[in-house]
Amino acid sequence: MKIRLIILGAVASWAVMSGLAETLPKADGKVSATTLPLDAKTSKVKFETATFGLG
Amino acid sequence: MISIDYDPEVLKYEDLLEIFWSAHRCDQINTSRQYMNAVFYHDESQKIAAENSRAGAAVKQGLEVDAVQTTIASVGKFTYAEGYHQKYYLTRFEEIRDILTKAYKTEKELADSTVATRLNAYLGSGMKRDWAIFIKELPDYGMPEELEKALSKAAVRMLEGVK
Repeated sequence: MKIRLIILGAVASWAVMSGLAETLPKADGKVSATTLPLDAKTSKVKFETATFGLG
Repeated sequence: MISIDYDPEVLKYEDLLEIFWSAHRCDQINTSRQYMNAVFYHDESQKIAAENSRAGAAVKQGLEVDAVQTTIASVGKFTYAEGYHQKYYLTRFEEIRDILTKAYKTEKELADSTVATRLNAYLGSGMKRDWAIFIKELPDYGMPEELEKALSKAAVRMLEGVK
């Protein structure tokens, strides 16, 4: 009974946490910012992407 | 992790690699995935360029190539960080941040914005900045007139200060 309650509690917490967690966007190879003039201009430039990690 | 979209006609991948290697000690052991020193390549040519640059970086830092701990790995899928990590220096400039937030409704748009990236770098970072280019580009940033004038004035002062 106790174990069942613990499992139920853990599942409920996980369900609440995943509902609250922010869904972060993923890179899609497109530039989405085009409102401001310079952004409109640069969004038309064919670009390449470089990715780095710095500790 | 940082993802840079660049114009290959203006900047070479090798130039970015050089900046990357000079920005960290490459014999530092990676203790967590979140804060690891790494080149995440997008294709075979980037992989080759990254591997070729490793030895040069080691020599510049007075290290044996075998001592390099910096990871070179495939990028996989890049996920944007939360909004509060984006354009961090602009958090000190509420007026500008508000204008950009109104122009761009989503955090992805703000992160993708060249204008936001430029303003963040010019106003906040300690990196080498070309104020003449800033002044020339400023009208294209789409800032309100008064703010544009204030930014231009500040940039002129910076330009004169470094001469």
